[in-house]
Amino acid sequence: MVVFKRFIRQPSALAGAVFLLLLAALATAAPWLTDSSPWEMNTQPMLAPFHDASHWLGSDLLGRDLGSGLLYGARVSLAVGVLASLSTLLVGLLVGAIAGYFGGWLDGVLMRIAEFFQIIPQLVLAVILVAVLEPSLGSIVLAISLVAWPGVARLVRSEFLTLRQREFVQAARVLGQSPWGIIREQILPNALAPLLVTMTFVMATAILTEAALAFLGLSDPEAMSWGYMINASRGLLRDAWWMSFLPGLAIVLCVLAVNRVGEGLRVAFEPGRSL
Amino acid sequence: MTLLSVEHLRIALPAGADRSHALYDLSLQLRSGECLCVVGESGSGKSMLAKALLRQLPVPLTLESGRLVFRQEDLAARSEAGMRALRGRAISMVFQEPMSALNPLLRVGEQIDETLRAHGVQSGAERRRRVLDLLGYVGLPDPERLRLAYPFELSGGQRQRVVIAMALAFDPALLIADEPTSALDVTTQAQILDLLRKIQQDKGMALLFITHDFAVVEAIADRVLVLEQGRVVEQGSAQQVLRAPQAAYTRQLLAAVRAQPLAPRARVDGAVVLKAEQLGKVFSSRNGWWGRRTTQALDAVAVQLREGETLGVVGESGSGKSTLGRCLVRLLRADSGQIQWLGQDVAGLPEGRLRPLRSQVQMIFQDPFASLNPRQTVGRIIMTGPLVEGRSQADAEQRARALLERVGLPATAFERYPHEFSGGQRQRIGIARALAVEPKVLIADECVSALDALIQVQILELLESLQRQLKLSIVFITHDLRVAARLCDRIAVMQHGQVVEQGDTAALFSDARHPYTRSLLQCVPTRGVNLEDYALYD
Repeated sequence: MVVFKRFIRQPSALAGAVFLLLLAALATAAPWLTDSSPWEMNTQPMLAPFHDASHWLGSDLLGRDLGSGLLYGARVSLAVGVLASLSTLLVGLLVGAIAGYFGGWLDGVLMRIAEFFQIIPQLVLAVILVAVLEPSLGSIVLAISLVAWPGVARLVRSEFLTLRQREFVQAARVLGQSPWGIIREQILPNALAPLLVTMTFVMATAILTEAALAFLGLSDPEAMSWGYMINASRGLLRDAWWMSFLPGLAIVLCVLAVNRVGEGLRVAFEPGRSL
Repeated sequence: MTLLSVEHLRIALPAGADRSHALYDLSLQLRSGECLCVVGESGSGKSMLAKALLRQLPVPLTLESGRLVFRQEDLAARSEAGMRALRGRAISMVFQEPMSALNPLLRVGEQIDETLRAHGVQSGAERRRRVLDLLGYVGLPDPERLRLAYPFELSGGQRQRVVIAMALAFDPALLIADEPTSALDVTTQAQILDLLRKIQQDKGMALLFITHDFAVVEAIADRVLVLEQGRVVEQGSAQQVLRAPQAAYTRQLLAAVRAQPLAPRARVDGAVVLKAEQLGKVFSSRNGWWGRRTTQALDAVAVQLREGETLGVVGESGSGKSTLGRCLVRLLRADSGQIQWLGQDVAGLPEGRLRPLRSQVQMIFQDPFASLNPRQTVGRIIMTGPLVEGRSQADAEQRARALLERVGLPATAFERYPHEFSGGQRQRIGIARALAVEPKVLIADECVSALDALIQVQILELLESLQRQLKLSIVFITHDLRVAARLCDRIAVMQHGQVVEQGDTAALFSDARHPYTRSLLQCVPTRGVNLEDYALYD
């Protein structure tokens, strides 16, 4: 409750959260808000914004409605962001918890594997994975979480390393609680705050990576995405700047909002700091 | 001549604090060459006094009213720069924790040098000579070499000597010492007190000594001022306050320090419930790039505990007493030797097979703040043990509520979180958690050392009465001989990982055989050990 109050007292974090909620609502309602698929060529090509009331954000070079494209693009971006951060969390938590709690050789092996993933350039690895696996929502999420989990695992591990030395965890051991019980009831609730904050940053990176992959042509061919829209119109930057500008702006705002929320959470969780 | 006089000092606390003023109407006078001890429990406002004198109050707090007069000069008239010229020169300060008062990245010589330079000693040669003088003066061996040491290379006592040397850099007229010995071992504590006393007489400076410990007061004070909740309850000469205290609060505090054993009792001859033999444990840490440093934390330790008995394990920090406790409860695995819980050898049992036996031996931890999970309610914390044993939710809850009552906490505590409780109450919660699985043996590791004297007595009384009701056996680990004497049937004295002496408490106090035990007994900081204060079993 206190955390929530401290969170909503920060204007930028609150604005970010409201923006994301609004975007999520619009994306969910996309089929009802627009009367056509984003792929349908239903007006004249390269229509500038604010010229036609039924296509008020304009159209791209094939005459597809940009507003509808942006809404459907939000679906992809948010879905990839949420799914990728969830799967990253799952893997990172599991690996980090095992490494941090049990330590010893298990820790050594798991951390060497994590380092192996960390030394490969992340975008290159993601590009190769998606190219090999055929672009689809599943393969994009897999590629993003595969490059993002080591960071989360290291964070979880370091939290666990400190927390397992705390006296209340030792008390639980003396009471005979099992390792999984201790991890679930004693350690995890205390490690949640920094983890949640990191997850928002993982999500921002995931949205950016998805856009980059789509820009390189590695997006689900069925789904309209912001990166794809920029890619499709990049040749006409001087003639119809809005076709690349609008999806670019959408990416910037979305990532910025996620970032602000993360920063807001970080400040809200920090004890004893007045705003 | 009056050096410092404080008149009607009031420091207001922000709204929502537990009381309206950190200090209310405090007046005191201090002459040169005099030692005034300000005594109070934690939260009594005694440290605020020191901070107010140096104009270093933490942010929302300010002087509400009152005058601080130093050498006939009202300090309020001084500018910030004027105060800076005073601090470290005419008034200096020694803090409780020497490690945090020193910069870990600078050699100690450089740190003293810095103070000298900040106050305008230009010549490098002169500063160097002064640093060596000071280090020698506070009794540090080989100042020439020690000057180049980093703080982490020194022991706690040596660090505190360095801090004192720094404070003495300009022969201050007033030295403020805020709990300067509380973080130190008893033997070191006695040495530092001697040193302060000697310096004070030597230089004729005034000493404002802030402490919670009446034993320290007895050793050093000329006059005493007792604070309770920010108000002065008693002020007078040391003789008068210690021998014939007027205020009820002072009498309580003194009684807490000089308390008799709670209930003298007959020798116990129950069955042996806990036994360790030839226990050994070595810690090794990396030293430099390829060297390894090993520490023999336990060396062939043998102890045993009978049903209903309390064994005190006494020693200074680093003596291996906590390691012993952790090995006995199997938080640590001993390298060699046997441990028996109720006759069953557990030293080598794997964790999985040990878990069902764990309820027999429980532990009470030192730090009442770190030992409770901040995200669980008190009820949930106490229920952990019974639930782990496989009891039903309802059974565990009933048990937890009964235990809350037993350890003297209100029933409403069940739904609340640990941060809403004071140190003493938290320690009661820790005791309830341990008792929830009906253990035979309790291992208490410094379980009262973080508490105020009055609260200490309450917790010790609680342990004592629980022990009688439940036939508990207790291993009581402490650095404080006074506390051990009050509760324990037998005492084992540890030094360098070995038990150097073991015996009945009364016998050990009246006729200590080992020189280390004797030095520990002498160091209980009173002017001349008055063992009649501990008047033991006859």
